[in-house]
Amino acid sequence: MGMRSVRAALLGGVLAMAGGLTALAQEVGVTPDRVRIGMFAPLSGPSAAYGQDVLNAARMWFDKINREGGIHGRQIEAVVEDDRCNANDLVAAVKKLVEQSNVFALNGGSCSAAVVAASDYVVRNRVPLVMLNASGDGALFPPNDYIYGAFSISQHAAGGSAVEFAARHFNARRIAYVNHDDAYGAWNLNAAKFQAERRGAGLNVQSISPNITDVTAPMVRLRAANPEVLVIMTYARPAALIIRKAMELGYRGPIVVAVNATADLRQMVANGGGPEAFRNVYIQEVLADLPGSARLQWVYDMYRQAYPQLASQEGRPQVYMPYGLPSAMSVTRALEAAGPELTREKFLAALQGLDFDSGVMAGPIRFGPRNRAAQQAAIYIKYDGATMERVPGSFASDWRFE
Amino acid sequence: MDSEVLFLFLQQGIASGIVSGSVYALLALAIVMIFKTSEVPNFAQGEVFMVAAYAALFLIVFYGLPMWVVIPAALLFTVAGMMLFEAGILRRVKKALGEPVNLVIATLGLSFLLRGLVRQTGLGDTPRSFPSLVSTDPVQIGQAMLTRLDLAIVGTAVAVMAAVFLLFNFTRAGRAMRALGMNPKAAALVGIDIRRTHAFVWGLSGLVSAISALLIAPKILMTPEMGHVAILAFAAAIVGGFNSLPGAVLGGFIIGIAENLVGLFVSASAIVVTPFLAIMAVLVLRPQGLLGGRPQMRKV
Amino acid sequence: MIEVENLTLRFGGLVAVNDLSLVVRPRTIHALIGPNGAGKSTTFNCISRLYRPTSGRIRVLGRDVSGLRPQDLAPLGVARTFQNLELFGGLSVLENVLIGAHVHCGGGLRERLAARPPAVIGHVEHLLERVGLAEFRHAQASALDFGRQKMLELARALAIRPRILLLDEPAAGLRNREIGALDRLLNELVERDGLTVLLVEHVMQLVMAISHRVTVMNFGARIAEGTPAEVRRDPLVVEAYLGQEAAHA
Repeated sequence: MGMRSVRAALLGGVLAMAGGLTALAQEVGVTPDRVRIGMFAPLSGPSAAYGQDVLNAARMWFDKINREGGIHGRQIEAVVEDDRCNANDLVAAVKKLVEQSNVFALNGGSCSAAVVAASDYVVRNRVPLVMLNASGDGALFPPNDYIYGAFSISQHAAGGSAVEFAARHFNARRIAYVNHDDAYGAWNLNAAKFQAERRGAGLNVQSISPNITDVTAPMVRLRAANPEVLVIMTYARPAALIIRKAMELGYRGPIVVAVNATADLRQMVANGGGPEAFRNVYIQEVLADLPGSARLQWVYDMYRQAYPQLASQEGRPQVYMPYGLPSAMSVTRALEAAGPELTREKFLAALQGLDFDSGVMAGPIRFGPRNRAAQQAAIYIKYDGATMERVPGSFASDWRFE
Repeated sequence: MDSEVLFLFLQQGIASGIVSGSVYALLALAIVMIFKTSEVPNFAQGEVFMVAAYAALFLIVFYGLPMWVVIPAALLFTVAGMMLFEAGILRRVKKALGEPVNLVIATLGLSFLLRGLVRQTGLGDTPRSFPSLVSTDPVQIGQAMLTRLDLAIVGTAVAVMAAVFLLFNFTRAGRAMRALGMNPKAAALVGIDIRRTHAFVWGLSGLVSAISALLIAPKILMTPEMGHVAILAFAAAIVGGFNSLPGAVLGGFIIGIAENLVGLFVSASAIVVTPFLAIMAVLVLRPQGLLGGRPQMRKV
Repeated sequence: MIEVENLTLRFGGLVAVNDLSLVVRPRTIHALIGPNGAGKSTTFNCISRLYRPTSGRIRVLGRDVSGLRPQDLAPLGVARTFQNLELFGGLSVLENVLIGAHVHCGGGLRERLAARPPAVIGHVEHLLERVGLAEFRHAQASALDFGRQKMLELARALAIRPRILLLDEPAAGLRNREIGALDRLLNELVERDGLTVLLVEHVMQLVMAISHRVTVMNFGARIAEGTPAEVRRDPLVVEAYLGQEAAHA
């Protein structure tokens, strides 16, 4: 071979490498026909009920989008890991998705405490994280560029909404407020105070330990202040005790219950003193309407179509299933808005600009320059142990992070 | 705070404090009687208490048995379980590894075992309410609001305490138990049946714990964590004097009343801290406890 | 009554009791003496089952007791006192003696619940009189003075209605007057009540006065045995004690 041909071969080789490098310069997890999303939720263990069907709902939404042609010619490829609702397994799942599966973005997390544990890693590695149904206040305030969540409702907004309902619906000026003396309690109280001030109402706060067994002292104190509405922001067991004690102390006014981590309302009525104690009780709900209503029928129809075998089983779909939809919708809308030249930066910018009605939740899914918490509103359902009656309208929390 | 509200809070605090205090007192009694005779602080006492309630619940939920069958069955079950643990495990540990530390570890193991067992049955998945034999109709005492159930709790607890007191101080069996606690070597040499006495004390402790569990269960909603109340019972025992049965009772009432008064006059979040503050105060001012006699030093 | 055959007890490399044999005859007072560290208390503890012998046999009342636990002795009729007193300090004088009588109360529920079982209360009161503690019956045991506490422990031992009494240094710490009372009581117990007594003792005054037979130990082995007078004259015994004194001189 002559010198000329050697030079030609070398030039050809360099050009080929340059072409290859250009291909490498494309974003992680993105190819011309696929975008890879890393999903995680508790799929096994005692908390599986918080995650399995939520993740299924998100996936069925991705499947629908894929069937309709994908986004900018790209099909959504979901890689799924089980986080078992604890910090260790969740962080391990996230690392695996980012480092081994090379995903473009993460869409996962049903358990607040666990998901917050991954925030350091996610921010350091600049991977977008769109939570599933976790409220995740610890990772959303103060806002950072990479993490979006609270598609069910943030802990802050739960408190603010409950106070808004008490103040607006009952015209209450004296509101009794019972929360826990932990981080979650501090968060919901923060927004509750803001809302009360805005409405010109006074809050009488009792912060109790989640392990409390005797609620007499805080309840007697509240009763002495003669409240017009009692707002309960606790776990199911203390809530039942409080409702019971309220009745024992002769309180007959409205009670608003925003219970964390409960699905069993009938058990709560049994624990709380029976239908007699539930004559004036309102339950906070973050879906757009009553679970059995016509407005949400499409969600359950979609689930039945996507998972016919599961849907025929007892206890399916799980209670929190619909919450997966607004999260997945946010992912697909942001992918769409980011355009065909897909990068993580464009995706994140698109997320920040989202403002849409999912048709599933009580309020719009809305982010902003300083807001990473999607859903801020709730509806309220009067429940007496037998019938559910929705109070018209939805009640939003006005507090925003400064 | 005006004087009317102050007076109301005082009455309510003391009344409610006596109710919860009587349950702490019973559980503290159960702990102290074991400690007095075998020098073992039983860290499974709360779980025994919890299992007694769940055993009763199990019979009610899965077999639909009436209360007059369920209650004796649950009591018997707890007594048998405690005696089985003492005879089957504790004795072996004592024989093999004599030191008290290992016995304490054995009781810790028992607490984990019991909690796991209850979780396995699935009954612990959601907080459960226990049917009450006595109505929860409100009863007003002065300005304080209690319920009929509360009165029944106090009444029964006091009766049990009196029975235990009589047993320990006025019967032969009680004397043997006290002697064993004071001087095991001498007890052996005067022919007291050590094994039987230990078994009896554990069984009695189980009985008292089970009674306190069945008393309080209708009031507090059952979860596998309800054994936490044992921490308060330990606090009560420390305050009253860990070697003193009347001390345990006094300590129980003190902790119960203190908790309620703090909750009313300070804040609800301070309630949890109260028992520990009480412990610290006692350890600093009078380490042997209020009724603990003279502070004892022992060669180790 | 008590037959010790070739008793040996080793603690690791140390031989505390070396091939000891002795026989205690019924209705006698037998003393076990020797200088400090001779192995008397160790032998005593083997007989009362607090220690397990390495080899040899112990027979009490005709029974081989090597396999028994300490709590099996009382029902057999063997009672023991301790040099440093092992009373139930928190119980009253009456209760301490009542506990001694537990072995004789029935096992029925009624008997278990009774505070002062009629079957034994008379005997217990009588014992209190006998040791001179009747007026202190409700005092707490730990509040008595040392001499009275020793008498209490003896009364408790007697409540067992033993046939054999094992006394561990009963005269230690007693004043002369109290030693005299002990002397009289022990004699009474043997002559009148037919007990057999084995005692370990340092106080020679008591040993010489009341023993029928004396066994002398040194370095874990028997060096002499006989009546008090014989033993006192035995050169080996003298040397053992003098040697001790010389060492301490």
